[in-house]
Amino acid sequence: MSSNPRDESLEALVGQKYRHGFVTDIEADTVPPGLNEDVIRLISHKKGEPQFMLDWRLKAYRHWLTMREPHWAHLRIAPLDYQAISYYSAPKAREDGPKSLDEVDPKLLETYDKLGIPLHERARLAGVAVDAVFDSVSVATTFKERLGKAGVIFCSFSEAVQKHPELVEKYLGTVVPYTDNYFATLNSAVFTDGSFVFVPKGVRCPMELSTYFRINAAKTGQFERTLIVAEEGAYVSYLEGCTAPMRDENQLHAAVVELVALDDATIKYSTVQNWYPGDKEGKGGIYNFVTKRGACRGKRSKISWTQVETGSAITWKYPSCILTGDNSIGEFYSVAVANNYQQADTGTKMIHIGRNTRSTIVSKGISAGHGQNSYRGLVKVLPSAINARNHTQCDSLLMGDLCGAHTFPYMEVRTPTASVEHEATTSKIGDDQLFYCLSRGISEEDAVNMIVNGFCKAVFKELPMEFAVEAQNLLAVSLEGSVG
Amino acid sequence: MSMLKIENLHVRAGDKQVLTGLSLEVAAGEVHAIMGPNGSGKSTLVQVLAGREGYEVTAGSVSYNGRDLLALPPEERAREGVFLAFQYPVEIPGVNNVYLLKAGLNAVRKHRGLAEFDAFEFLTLVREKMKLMHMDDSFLNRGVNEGFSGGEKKRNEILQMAVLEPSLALLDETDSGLDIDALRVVANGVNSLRRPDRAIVMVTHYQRLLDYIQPDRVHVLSGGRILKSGDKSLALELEKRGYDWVRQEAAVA
Amino acid sequence: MSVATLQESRSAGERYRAAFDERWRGNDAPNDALIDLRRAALERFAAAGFPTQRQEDWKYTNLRRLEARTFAPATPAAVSANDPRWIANAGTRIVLVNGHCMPGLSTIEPQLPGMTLLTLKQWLERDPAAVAAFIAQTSRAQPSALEDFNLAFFEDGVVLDLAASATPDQPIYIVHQWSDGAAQVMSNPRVVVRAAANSRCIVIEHFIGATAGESFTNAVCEIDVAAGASVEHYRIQQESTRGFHIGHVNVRVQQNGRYASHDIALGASLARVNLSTTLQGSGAHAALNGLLAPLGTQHLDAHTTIDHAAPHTTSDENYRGVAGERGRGVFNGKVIVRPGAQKTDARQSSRNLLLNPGAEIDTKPELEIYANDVKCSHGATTGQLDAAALFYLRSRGLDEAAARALLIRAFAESIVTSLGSPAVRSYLEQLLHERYKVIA
Repeated sequence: MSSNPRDESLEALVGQKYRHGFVTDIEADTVPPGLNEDVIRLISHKKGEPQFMLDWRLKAYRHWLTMREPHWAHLRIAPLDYQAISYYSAPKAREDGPKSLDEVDPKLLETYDKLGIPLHERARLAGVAVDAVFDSVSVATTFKERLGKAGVIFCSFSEAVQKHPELVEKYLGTVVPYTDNYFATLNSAVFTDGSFVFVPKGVRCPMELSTYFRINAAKTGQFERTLIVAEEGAYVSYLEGCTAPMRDENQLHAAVVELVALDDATIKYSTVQNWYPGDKEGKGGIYNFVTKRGACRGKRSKISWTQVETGSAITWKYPSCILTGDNSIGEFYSVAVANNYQQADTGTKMIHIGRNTRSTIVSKGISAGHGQNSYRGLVKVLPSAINARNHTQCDSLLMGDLCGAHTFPYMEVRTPTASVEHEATTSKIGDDQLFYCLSRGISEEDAVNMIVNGFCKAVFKELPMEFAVEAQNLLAVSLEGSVG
Repeated sequence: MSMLKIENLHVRAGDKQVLTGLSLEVAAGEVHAIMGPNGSGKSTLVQVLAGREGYEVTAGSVSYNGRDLLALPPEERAREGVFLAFQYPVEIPGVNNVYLLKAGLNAVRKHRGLAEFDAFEFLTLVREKMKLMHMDDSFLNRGVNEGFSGGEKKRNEILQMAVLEPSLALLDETDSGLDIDALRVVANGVNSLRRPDRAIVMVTHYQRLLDYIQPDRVHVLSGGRILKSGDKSLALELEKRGYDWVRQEAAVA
Repeated sequence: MSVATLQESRSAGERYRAAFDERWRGNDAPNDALIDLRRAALERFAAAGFPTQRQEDWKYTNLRRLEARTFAPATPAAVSANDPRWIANAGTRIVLVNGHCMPGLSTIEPQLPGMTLLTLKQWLERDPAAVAAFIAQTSRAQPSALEDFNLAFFEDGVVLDLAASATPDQPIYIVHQWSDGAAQVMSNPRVVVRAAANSRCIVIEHFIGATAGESFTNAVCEIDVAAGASVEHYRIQQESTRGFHIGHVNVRVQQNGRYASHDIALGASLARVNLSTTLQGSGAHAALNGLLAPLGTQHLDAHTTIDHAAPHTTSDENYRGVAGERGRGVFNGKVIVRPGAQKTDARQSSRNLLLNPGAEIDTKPELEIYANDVKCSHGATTGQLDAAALFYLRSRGLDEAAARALLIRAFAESIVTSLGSPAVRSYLEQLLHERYKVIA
């Protein structure tokens, strides 16, 4: 590489590896690889689902067979063999599953401890309720009782299907229909677990909710599904985190998230995505092909997406808002990092339907190494969306001369009273900025960190406090050794 | 008879009640100064008089030469002789200064039953007025306020006033952002436009402007109403003592 | 009617293969040294067909109405020797009627110093091998279906060669016009501009429609700007509102060369221009200005690509859209910075006005960047007239309609104020004045 002292000092930092790459040795109940109707029946049977769920899964599967893998994104994807994936893997547990945290396999508790997500309710994240999803199933949910008292339902998706089938049936697939897109349709057929949140009318959820996703088993795919419903005037803030072991093969993660906000409801959904990104040569890593969408159905409802995407070999996701309710608000704040051979094609869709709907998009893309980072966003203003407003700010930071930063915004405006503004810039870390920091006695790596964090500040400030610091540290680790 | 008569005016902007029962009478030939702290409603008052959208008159009336001013669209008010010199004149790239002036002047003249000016007559008139404001010819061919400095914008406003010859001029913080030389030019411009058949209402924060343009009446606007009125000595008192005493006095009364 | 239905049942490839065989048989074929190139292009077109909205590049423009029709190659026709629509004093005039050069209407003799101006037909007659070689050399790796269509069918055009350091003292004014009776016919003109080192010129292409009848113009323009040369290129598109217009402009700029484009789209029922500029040498600069002004039910689409293929290249792009009535404007501007093209400076701006409900603007400003030491930015806005400006004008006595018209014109005219040709500038100002007189 170059003899620039800056490069060397940063290269010295590369040493730190992906910190969550270990494997938990646990006996698992894994379905043999392959996908057909019997596998879907088996998944549904294992989960003891009612008939409507199985019917829905089969409809999705039959539709999926008619679809083709999408290739419009600015990505290079090695071919996926959908018959080589195991669609169900669960740590072996007692027949009826753990009744409380005390009954959870200690190995699992230890795994989450190592990941920094203790499942003991008095532990570090005492103000946060956690649902832990391990491969295909939820293994524990904390603080259920306390939430229950407030009227909030927070449980695994499987449990919701058992205990609240009427809510699941009412909302499942109403935001992301099973026909939506190739990966969402596949998810609809084979999803195994995920989180379910229901905040009833007028309730402000008393604590942060979070789900921690962990892929452990080899040769499996992870297909979780999350559904969050906030009734009139309700408020909930939800955060998800993700990690996986280091493996040489690519693993598929195809999740679906559906959010529904009724009148005056607010849902804040934050993601810190740190799936295994593959090694320095681009070998292995997770394919993160995710469909996330929120429906602002109610008047003055608000859905806010914040994402920090540092992991995965390939990220393909566009958390979106359908702004149907008058005066509803959609927000999207994103930091996406593509280092080494990572590729990201991510952004959002804001569909303005109701009057006076507003949306804000702030996207910060960081490219380093051979990484390719694309922002892709759609702002669509339908004729009914009188006085709609959108502002999009989309900035890219390039570190090194082998990476790429791309911007593909789509603006479709059909209302003369609307105002849609998009701004994009591309830059590298300025020599003058760096010099200024150095001349004030700040070390090279601290200076780069400061500048990058400053670049991302508008997004980090949207994260719940408990996770903002973690996100900053994660970013520092993801980018180590990448300035050129 | 008063040229302008404002009675019990209540105005709301969005959720905020800005004017809460303002009354004011201005006769031809008079110069009034309206002073008051930030957010007291001074700018709202002149914007409402000029017909800007976004304000809701919830009660009260404004009559101008015996007509209901609030019923007229902004261009009708302009043609009837109401002129607002903006605090922040908007930049309109691509629209020529000279074009705007000529279109405005001819609209006013047509309204008054006068013959429209041709290009020659118009330029002769404008050049004469420009001398008054110490402006050179290059102003004419620039876009409206485009790339103007703060001082140039304010001078341009007074130039427009000189050309359009209004009977009621509303000057919204015309002194703000001006250095002392520019202030003198602007004030001289305004003074030269004082006439027995013309009224001038100036909104200002500072007494400074009143050293140059001597008002007949001074009003203190606070909390959306006029709390106190007096002659020009009131302005000097405000300069010394601030606004709080007026508020206290009003609260006692 | 039944004939039309019969035709529509055949694919576009089959229909135009028949038209091709009809056109290039008998006496014409032996003269045409390009027949193999043409045949290959036709077959590529037949295989690909007209682009569809499933292709990302055509997402916002539907060619079904164009595809449903079959246009016959147009033949020369007589027109008035002094058409009032021609821009007065625009420069040395060359008139193409229905895609065929009409020397009688042109003012190309005597030739300006340092300049060789031929019709494409003349060049084909004099040196068919050179034409074939030029086409082979400028063909892109993946030519688009409609460029292939032009290659299969082109008949005539203009070839302008500027010698090194030549600076003709007047612009070259190329009029592409339809004869009055033209209906269900197509023209595939080609314009070639080769500006040698340090030469400088203005080329004006003016597309004028027929008064009645549907027509299809599918024009190609190839421009090579050598080191230090400068080409200013105007494209004023005023086809009839029953016409279809597709334009392809391919520009290559060498070291310190400069290309400026003024792309003004006012006419046609459906128009699409692909303007592709490659900056191949260090110091090369491109300035792209454009106006899309759809009214009625017009659909006007501009797709531009600026490819920074060398370091120290700069580009400045400024497009505006004004959509009124049920008009639809599409702007897709792509800026590519190739690996190694360091110190690129690219700026792009797309500003759009929607005048009323029913109108639509779709914009897609794209950046694809593979080098880090670059300055690239784009901004895009879509909205309505500035309320503060409108109020300001009304407070000075202008009525609302006049104030709106004034602001609309000011917005649109900002694109034409930078034109180097005063004749074209005042022509366009007048045109925009008329266009937005009633719309307000």
